[in-house]
Amino acid sequence: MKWTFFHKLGSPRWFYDIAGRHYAWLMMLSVVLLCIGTIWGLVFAPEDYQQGNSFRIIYLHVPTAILAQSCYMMMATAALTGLVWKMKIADMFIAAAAPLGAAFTFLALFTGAVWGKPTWGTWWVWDARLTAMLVLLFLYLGVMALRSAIEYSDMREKSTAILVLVGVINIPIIKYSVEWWNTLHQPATFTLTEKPAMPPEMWVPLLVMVIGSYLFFTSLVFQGVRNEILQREARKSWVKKLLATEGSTSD
Amino acid sequence: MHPKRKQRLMLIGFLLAGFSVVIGLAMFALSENINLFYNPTQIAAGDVPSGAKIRAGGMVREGSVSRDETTLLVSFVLTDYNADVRVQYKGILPDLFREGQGIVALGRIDENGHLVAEEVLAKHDENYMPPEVMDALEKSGYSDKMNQGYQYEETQQ
Amino acid sequence: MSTLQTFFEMGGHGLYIWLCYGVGGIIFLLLGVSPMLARRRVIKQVKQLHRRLALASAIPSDVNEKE
Repeated sequence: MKWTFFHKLGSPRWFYDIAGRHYAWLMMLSVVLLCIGTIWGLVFAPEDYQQGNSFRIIYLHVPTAILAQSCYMMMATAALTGLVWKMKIADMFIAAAAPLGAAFTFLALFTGAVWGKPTWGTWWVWDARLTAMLVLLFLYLGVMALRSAIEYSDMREKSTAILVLVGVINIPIIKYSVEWWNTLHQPATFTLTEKPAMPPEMWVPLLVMVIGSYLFFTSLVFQGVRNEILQREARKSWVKKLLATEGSTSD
Repeated sequence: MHPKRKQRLMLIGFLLAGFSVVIGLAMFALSENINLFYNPTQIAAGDVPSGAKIRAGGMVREGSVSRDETTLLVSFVLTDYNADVRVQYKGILPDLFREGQGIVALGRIDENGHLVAEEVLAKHDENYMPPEVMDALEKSGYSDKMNQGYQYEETQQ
Repeated sequence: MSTLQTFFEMGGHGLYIWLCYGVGGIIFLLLGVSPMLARRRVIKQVKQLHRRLALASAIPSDVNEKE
């Protein structure tokens, strides 16, 4: 197996350049997709035969819920590479992603609660899915709190990575909670293997929102990791040259 | 791969596997408690502590809903197509409450085996559909296939 | 005008929908802006550090260079 790409990825300077080349167009494309998806979902998508218009909350709820879980999987991958290969950049990915994951999880819970009130008749119920999602929020907050409690050190990197890896068990629990137990929450809207149980005029805008959210997330992680790199490599000569030659506003 | 890295990977793998097994066993042991609600079958079989507050989940049997015009008192039959439980409820029902709808009711079983509910929540499935499409489907008799998830499953027990 | 009003009412669910999309919009906006603000802050900090390092020693600042 060739490890050259892998080792390149571990080089902060290389990633700083690559991310700098791509974050802007990713952000622009994601804004376009999110705007299209939102307007499509709010105005043009049909209402649901049972729920009427409150169904439209799905266009915010499902993308944020998917992102909340994907973000955690990304962090877990980073944690594993950080622990096994001692790759410094892995910890920067975790640092950049944790607040994003917390925001997406909060939004998924919030939109779920607001959606639940008119449809289920309650804001919150302690069923397996909702509780596991709340645990995910606390995992993100825990990772952030742990990082802010310890000074930058090798120990902080390791303890963060271990916490992230232990918490990864929560992800399959979230995913399968609606199948393993009786819950108030309905089964998944999107799965990789099956056709969604709704017509295209409903799921196409949802797909647009999901893709837009992924691009948005990617762009934010790129920018966040770039900021982390600048901070941690501040004493390296390439950073000195970079900041000496370029103004503070440009890249 | 470097042997030291392989060793670390193995160690992490073992730790995670061990931890998952522990969590899995705990969840398995608790699985009855993690379930949000009991099926009518379980209630009819007497698996439910009498007098304790429980949640019951199932479908509202078609034609079983009777309302008292003056007191907001509603009575209906909750079914999983295997057993039935009569539910009595006084209060405002969620918008989605209707015959044939999946619901979850919180309350106590009285001496007649009826559930006296304090709260009724509506459950819905992932089959979202525009109203016109649903009308067309109903005409073709498809709607019976929906909400299958509420039926009693032998494998769950 | 009346079609616009019915659109905002969303068949009686307007409050729920606009609450979700309002909070969602604010959070997405904050997320989108924060890395740019953070970048400014970081560059300011790092430049300050560079100035301090250059001042602190007459030795060329590349001395603690490892690469």
